[in-house]
Amino acid sequence: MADLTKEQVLELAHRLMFDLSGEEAEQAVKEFTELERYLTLLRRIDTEGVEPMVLPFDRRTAFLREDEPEKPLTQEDALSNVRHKEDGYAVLPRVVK
Amino acid sequence: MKYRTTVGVEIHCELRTETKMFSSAPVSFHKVPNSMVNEIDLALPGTLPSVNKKAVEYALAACMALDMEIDPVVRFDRKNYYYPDLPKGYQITQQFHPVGKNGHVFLQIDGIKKEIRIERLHMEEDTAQMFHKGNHTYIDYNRAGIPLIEIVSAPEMSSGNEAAAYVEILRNTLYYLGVSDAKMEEGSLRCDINVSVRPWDSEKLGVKTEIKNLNSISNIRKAVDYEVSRQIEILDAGKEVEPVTLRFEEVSGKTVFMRRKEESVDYRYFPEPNIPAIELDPEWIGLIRANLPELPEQRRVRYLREYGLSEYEAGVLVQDKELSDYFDKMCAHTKSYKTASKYLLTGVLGYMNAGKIRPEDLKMKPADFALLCDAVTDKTVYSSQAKSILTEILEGADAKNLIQSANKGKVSDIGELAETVKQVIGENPEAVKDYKSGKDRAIGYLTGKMMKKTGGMADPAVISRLIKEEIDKSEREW
Repeated sequence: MADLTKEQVLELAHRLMFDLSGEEAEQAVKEFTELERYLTLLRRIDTEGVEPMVLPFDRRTAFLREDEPEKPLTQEDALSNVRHKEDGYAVLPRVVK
Repeated sequence: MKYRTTVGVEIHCELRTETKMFSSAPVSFHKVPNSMVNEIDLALPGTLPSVNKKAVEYALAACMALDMEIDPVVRFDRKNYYYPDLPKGYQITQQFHPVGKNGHVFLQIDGIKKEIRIERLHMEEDTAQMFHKGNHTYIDYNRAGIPLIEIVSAPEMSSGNEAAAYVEILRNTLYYLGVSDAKMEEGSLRCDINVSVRPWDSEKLGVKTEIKNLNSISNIRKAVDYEVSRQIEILDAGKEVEPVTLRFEEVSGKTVFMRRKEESVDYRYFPEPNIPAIELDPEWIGLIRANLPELPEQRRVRYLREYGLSEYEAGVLVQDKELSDYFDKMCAHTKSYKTASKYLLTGVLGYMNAGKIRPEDLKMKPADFALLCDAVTDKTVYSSQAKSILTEILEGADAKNLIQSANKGKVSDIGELAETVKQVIGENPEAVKDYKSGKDRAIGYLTGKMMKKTGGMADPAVISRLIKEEIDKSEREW
């Protein structure tokens, strides 16, 4: 695998909608490279004929929740993390043209 | 050049559950914004989803009604995208293992039956509702997490008419099942339609466009027809159709540009780690199947076979579940099925339409209406009398008394009628002349005059016979 570059890290951060300083990006590259070194060790394991697993314990359940309503949050609580609210709505900059 | 059209339909339908797909927050409409949400719907840290049993039951019932193969292991996947209507940053859906596969419905158009295959039915969650005003977007999370089923047809329809018929069948089926209120105008059933056109002899499908969020059956028809003609115009001009997303503008009847289809968005689907695979109890599945209600198609066939109704009558009745429920209640009290459907689809439906009354709100009891139909069938009352009786029982009057007094007031004495017939003939020489010169409808006119004189208390068939006899007799006497 080609080494991760600082540019790629910045691009990724941008896609995930947060900013990184150049210093932080360099730090991320360093950490990622180290991680990758460990992960390549896994390649030594022979997985021929082994089905991939989705969960660590591939156990199925039969649980389904009964359709019985519980008290929801109050509007005030529901919006307590919202910076801009108006008439009970969460308000943001217009997302469509 | 000659073209052929290919249409595929995706339907999203909100299930009529009490709680959300993955949380116990109540589902309700038209409530105060952001008052029907809990920590799971808002994706607060540390919360985990749990699957609504009723929603799974409804999805299974829908699969059964559409004759689908059911996957007895329910699995969910994550569809990642970042948008404010989705607090988690992903939607939980069933990308890799839909609960239902390979179903079908039959369209009936102008007496021709056509099979439309259904590729998949899967469960997912609805998003928050947004509206945009000025420079702002307003979000109400009440809708976030409401259980949805998505039903994807094979691209096998070939006109706006077929697409409309397909959606109508699906809507009716889901409504009869009781799994959704399936109201397009309120958004509990929404549909997106893919349309493409290609030269008649071409094997390869043409470039398709997608029409979003159509909110009525008639708009589906109009939108597809318009889009087909738009695409043909482009191809005829030697240009290429662009793969765009469109919406239907009701006022102009046109499809208008919404957005370019980005090169396919990567949703980074992967199995939902927070919900383990759920094995459904085969006994429970069997129970759901055994308790499926009568579906529209079954009801239609029953009306044709058992009640001897016409295709038209059966079709109109079945299209409105409550109307045909009312009809069924009547039929529990009468064997005069034909009379019952005739009166229901003329007098009663007219009354309902005029007053915007739904069948379940009729004051007239089905048993009372049945009594009247029986009285008409065995001629206890004449059809001419039945009309005024119907008017009264529609307002809640007791049918039994009205029928009895109508029966008493009937003029069935031929001698008494013959006198009035002579009178009417004497008063209307023009009509008599018309009849003599071969205009049969003059008899209808004279019968009408007679009905007025007898206050509707005589049998119209007997009257027209008497009139004819009387005129013929006088002719011989000449």
